[in-house]
Amino acid sequence: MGKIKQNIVKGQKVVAIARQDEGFRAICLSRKSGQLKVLWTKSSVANGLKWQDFAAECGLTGTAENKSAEDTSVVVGFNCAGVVFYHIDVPAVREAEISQIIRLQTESRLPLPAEQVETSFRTNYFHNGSASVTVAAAKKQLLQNFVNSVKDIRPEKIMLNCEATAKIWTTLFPDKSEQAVVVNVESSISQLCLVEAGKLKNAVILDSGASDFIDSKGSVISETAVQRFARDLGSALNLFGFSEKGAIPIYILSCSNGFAAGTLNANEQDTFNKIAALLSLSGLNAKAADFGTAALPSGLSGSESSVLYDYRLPAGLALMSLDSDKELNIFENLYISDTKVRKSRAISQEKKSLIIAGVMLAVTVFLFYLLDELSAHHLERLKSTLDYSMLNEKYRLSEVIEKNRPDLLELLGTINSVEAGSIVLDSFDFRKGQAVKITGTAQSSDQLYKFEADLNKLKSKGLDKVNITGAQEDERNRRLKFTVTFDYKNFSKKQI
Amino acid sequence: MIKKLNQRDVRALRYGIAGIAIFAIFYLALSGLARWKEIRSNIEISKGQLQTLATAKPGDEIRQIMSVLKIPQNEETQRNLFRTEFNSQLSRSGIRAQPIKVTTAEKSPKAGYKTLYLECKARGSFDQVLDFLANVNRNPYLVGIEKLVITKSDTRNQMSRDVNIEIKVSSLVKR
Repeated sequence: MGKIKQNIVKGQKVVAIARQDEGFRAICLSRKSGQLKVLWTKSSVANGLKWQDFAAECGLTGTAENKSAEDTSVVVGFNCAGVVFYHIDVPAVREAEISQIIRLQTESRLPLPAEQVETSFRTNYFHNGSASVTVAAAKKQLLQNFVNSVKDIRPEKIMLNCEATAKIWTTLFPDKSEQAVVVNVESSISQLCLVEAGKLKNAVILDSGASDFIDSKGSVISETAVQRFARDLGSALNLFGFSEKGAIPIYILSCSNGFAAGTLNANEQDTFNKIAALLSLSGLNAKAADFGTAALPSGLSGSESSVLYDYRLPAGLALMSLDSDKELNIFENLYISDTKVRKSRAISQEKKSLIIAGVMLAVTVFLFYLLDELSAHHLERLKSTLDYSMLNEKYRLSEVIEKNRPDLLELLGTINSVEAGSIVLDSFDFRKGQAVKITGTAQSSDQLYKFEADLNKLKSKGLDKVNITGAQEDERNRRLKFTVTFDYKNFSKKQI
Repeated sequence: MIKKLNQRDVRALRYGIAGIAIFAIFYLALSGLARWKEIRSNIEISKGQLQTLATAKPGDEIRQIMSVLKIPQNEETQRNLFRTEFNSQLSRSGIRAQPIKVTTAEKSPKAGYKTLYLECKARGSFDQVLDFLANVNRNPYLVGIEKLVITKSDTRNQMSRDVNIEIKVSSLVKR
């Protein structure tokens, strides 16, 4: 059992786990400011070990919330056994239409009813009005079984190991041919991946692996087995559409004898060079991938790159996750990660909140409308109960009457309130549209003038323009007979 | 036989239904808003009208007039009612009135009505005149006093309280 070698780096972290060489391998990669770091690796011989046991060994027992709090996501790889890949060229139309075409074409090729199969496709590139599409298909039950075995780990994604092979190949050997077949030789199986423009175009799994032709010391034990392997490779190339065996370069990714992590030693490299030479004798354009020529990803030292090579399947998965590559997500309908569930719940919650807010707004508006409607009815009822039109008419008449009705009692009281001394009034003459006229007798002119002056002070009572219009001495009693006129409010004005 | 709808047809159908639904909602919302606007306008009018009546507080002259006022009748009815009440008020005050002269005029301070005048000469004490003036506003048919002339009946006797009066009052009659 390997030990965890750990460096502490803050930033986005991905833990990838895959079955490689009959065992589990895990790697934790982080990328911060474009610098890739291998934080730790762990490997374990399967030996009845389950996915969740190995995850527990890796310390991945926390909940999804804890993982996200630590900014770490977990991805696992599916070994592609039972997955069929197709490469289809379709007219370059919209994604939805491509989907329809792919569905129809895939259904016609599948040996099983469509409802028993899960498919996924990816458009690799467009060329001359057509789109190059890779389709992956697998039996639903097979995938479901795998989901059941890994769901306790709560991975963020389940990805295909073949894609990881293509990714690691592209990362470590970026200057190689545009199109190549990459053979990832494991102890008992071999993945053949047709890689084009850095993406997996097609893949097959061969049942023969390193244990068929390499002994525990790393030496070739059977040239016949290698030749059989060459024939299988030839058939696979035929399946990929290459009738000529040497038409495409084949790169063999060597394994470190399948059971222990560690850098490739010179002896193993020689063995794979020998195998490549034997394959070449069969007319194949085969070469052993020379790690000495590998590129060093930004931030990685040579030894770290070597670790990446040894842990190529989980490393490929982790790199795909870090780069957010568009993968063939064949598990899309079978597995939903906690993050997606949370996102979906959050969206659903947001939708619910919006709907509730909308309904509340509508209800509020309706209530206001209803209140207004009820108020209008209430006011109408009130008006009819009060015999409103009659009341209103009375009010209007009262307004007219108020303007036309002089308060003569008040006027007489006002005149009487003036300190008149010995003045005696003989008559009071009020006619609308004329000045009010009062006549009387006074003892003297002084009294009369004072009387006039006092009346003049009563403007606040509506008296105005007070004038003595006539004064004559009565010879019988020597008193002064006078006539005084004044305007009273608006009543003295000429009536229209 | 109905052809099975493909996805494109279903999508077109969905868009069509959504469009119709949006149009219907929009139409209903606009109609509702117009109706609401009308309701609010009616409320404002009714409130304004009731406010006018409500602002005539008890104690106001208008409120006092309203409390006794009777809506004018046709000429014949109004004339009889007004004259009877006016004569009764004079009598109650102790004023001795001569026959009352009734006239009408087309001119009126309020549209839809004619003016009815009652005019008479009378005699009584000054106190009786004051009593009459204090009560005349309770006449439910009275609009205004057009003329009031008070003269001492005996100018030579300074102590005499007897007066002659000429009075002309008005009312409204329905046209």
